[in-house]
Amino acid sequence: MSRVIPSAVEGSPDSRRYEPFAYALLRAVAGLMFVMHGTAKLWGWPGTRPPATDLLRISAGWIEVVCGLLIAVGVLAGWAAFIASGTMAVAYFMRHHGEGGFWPLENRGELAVLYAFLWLYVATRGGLTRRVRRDVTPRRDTTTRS
Amino acid sequence: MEKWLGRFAPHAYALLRIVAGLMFAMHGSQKLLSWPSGQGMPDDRLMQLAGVIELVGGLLIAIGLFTSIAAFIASGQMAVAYFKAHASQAFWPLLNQGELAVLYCFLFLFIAAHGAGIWSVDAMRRRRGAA
Repeated sequence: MSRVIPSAVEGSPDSRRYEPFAYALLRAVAGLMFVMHGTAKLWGWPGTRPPATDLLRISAGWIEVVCGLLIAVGVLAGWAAFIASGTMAVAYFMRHHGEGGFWPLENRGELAVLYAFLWLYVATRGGLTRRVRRDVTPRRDTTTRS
Repeated sequence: MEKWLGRFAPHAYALLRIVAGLMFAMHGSQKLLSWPSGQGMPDDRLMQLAGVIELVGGLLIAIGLFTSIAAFIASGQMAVAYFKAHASQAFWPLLNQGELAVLYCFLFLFIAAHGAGIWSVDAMRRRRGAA
């Protein structure tokens, strides 16, 4: 018994062709927003909060700036994402867990959770590697998929 | 890093999809069912629609059923949400509270292009279809 599933439902070969671009876009946008958390901590931009003075927030800020840039550009993105993911996990449990509720929605830690899992995935995949570049080249044969 | 962790990429992707889908669904349940800690059902029809998209779309993404379509719709909804609710407050996503919307928007766009991957109903259906 073979059931035909519309290919659009499960990521069709056509949409898979754009997958590396969507991945690069996600990396760039998320990476740059991550950087801005760092710049806000270190230099007070953007925002009106004064720059951080305690060592913990300064080191968090530097991790966010450096790792975010590396992830966005795609250089050593795997390493940078691994460190950033760990930072976000620490940030969640130090700052958000239990503060105002159990659920990430209530303790304002949703962003940290999302970044942690996103960077974990980026750590397993890295930047625009050669393997991915090969996927970028449009394939003639879109009817077969591996 | 990807040399060592590369073989876990499908698992990390599935985790990301499930966690993001569930948290997204909770925004919907917050709007529609006041859980967790909502302010009651919004009167605004648009907000009700947003709640339905978030709840249903988030659950579909989390369990991996019709993942691409659900993620594509959710991504579009987040784009609308950003420009309707956040963009006018300040330019930078960090300041206008729209960072979460931007992140969800691009994440779901990526999920729409990537498909469900492992640990999903789509993958189960595909296996059965192939058998």
